[in-house]
Amino acid sequence: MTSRVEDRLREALVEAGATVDASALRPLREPQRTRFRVDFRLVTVAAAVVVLAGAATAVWLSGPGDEDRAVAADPGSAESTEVAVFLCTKSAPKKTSCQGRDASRAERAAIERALKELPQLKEVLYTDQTTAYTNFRATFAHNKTVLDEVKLTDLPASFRLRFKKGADPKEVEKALRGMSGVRSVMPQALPSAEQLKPVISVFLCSKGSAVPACGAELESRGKNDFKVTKEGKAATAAQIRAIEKAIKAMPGVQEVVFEDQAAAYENLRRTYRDNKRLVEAVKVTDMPESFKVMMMPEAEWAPVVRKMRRQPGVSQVTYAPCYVDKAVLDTAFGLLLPDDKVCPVGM
Amino acid sequence: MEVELLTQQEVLARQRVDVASIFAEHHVGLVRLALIMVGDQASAEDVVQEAFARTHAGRGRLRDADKALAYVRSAVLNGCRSVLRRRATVFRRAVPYEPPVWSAESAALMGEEHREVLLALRELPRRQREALTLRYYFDLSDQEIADTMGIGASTVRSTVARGLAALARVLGEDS
Repeated sequence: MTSRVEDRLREALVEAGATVDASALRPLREPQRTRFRVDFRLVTVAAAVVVLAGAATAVWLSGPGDEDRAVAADPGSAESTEVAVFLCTKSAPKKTSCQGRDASRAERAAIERALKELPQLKEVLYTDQTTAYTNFRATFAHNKTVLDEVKLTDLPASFRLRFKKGADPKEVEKALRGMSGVRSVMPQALPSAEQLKPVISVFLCSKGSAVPACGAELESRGKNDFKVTKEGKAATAAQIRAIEKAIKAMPGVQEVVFEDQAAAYENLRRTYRDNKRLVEAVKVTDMPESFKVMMMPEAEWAPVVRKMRRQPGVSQVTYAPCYVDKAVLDTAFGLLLPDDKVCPVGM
Repeated sequence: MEVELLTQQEVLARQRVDVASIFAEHHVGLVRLALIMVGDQASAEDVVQEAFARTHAGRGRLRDADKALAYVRSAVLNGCRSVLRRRATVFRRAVPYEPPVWSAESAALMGEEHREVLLALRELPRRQREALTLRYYFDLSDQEIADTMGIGASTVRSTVARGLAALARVLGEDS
């Protein structure tokens, strides 16, 4: 049943459509900016780092030893599907193998050739400095300090490796670490929502602490090696009460929870399920006690951290999102910046 | 086995080849669809360009190659809705670049009778307007219209019927 309305509509539409001059259409432009891909996959490592902050205290307590190295040798316990190989830049720190110069074209080609020969890889992507910088700006839009600190030329170019099912990324990582022109090799992982919560951890001094803030005295015996000449003291009950009171008096504090040794150990065990060596190396009594301070969204965290650092009986104070930023910077962009360059606390 | 070494751009380019070619192939048609919806060619071209850019960003969701055209069309329709919505706000910042084709001021020459039909079409609810356009201009089947608009095929049938009846009423064709 074709009515007159249908015919009229059809003709009108055809005539309207015909007013478009096909030859004069502006050509379609490809979008310039690509979406940032790594974004949310980065948080596990950050989680690991946050716990490491706690674990470091624990390890430190028992004196710098093997456990410390065990932790360092096993970054990210979660299975990673992507590994980034960062190339050297001129601005890389001295202790890396870069020796103050960019990876040369020949070095890059050699790495590329080596990657092509690896049977474990499914796919290799190359991210140049410009792409890295674009992604970096998008990821750290919330952190002006980092944006100001990092220039395009600081960011290393990288190869992103995707592995075939069942391949062991560890071997590949090991093989690539020694190559000339390689600055670092980082498994990619994602931080959990838990890590991104604005939580300040105020760790308390425990008995036998090796942290100077707890009254310990250290004697340096070369690089990263200290001898504890006088052990620190545990925070007293009065100090703990004073700390809690001081926290609650700060503006922007939403909630304060005390985490005892057992709870801290449980958290460590949960986070490092896959890292038996670490879990076995740490005892419940190694774990530091802490106050977990949940901040209100958008609240100023730096003054709280500053104030708590000066409080007697406090061994160290950390702000979780800073560690996430630091970890993301390290794993996704290959930059290792000191704390005060990522989240300056001020004096 | 040889691993192919691709830059990130190249990989993205490969993934987006499908959507891009659909846009290239149907560019004129999509602009016409947008024109009928928003009234002027410049806005229509903007809508299509925007939809093109957006579908690139969301390429991960585009699995089914058969549905790609419907997907692209609905992206364009969505863009048109946004334009119309923006124009309807109090501030009216988003005015059309040119007088719409259905107005007497339009540079495009259209018969008075056809202009009348388009004006009537414009007065219909959005869903009827879209369904009628897809049916009578693009000759899509109920199912294709349903896929494009994200509604059921039976809803398409009733919407088209109601739209047609309303149009007939306005144009004085109901007998």
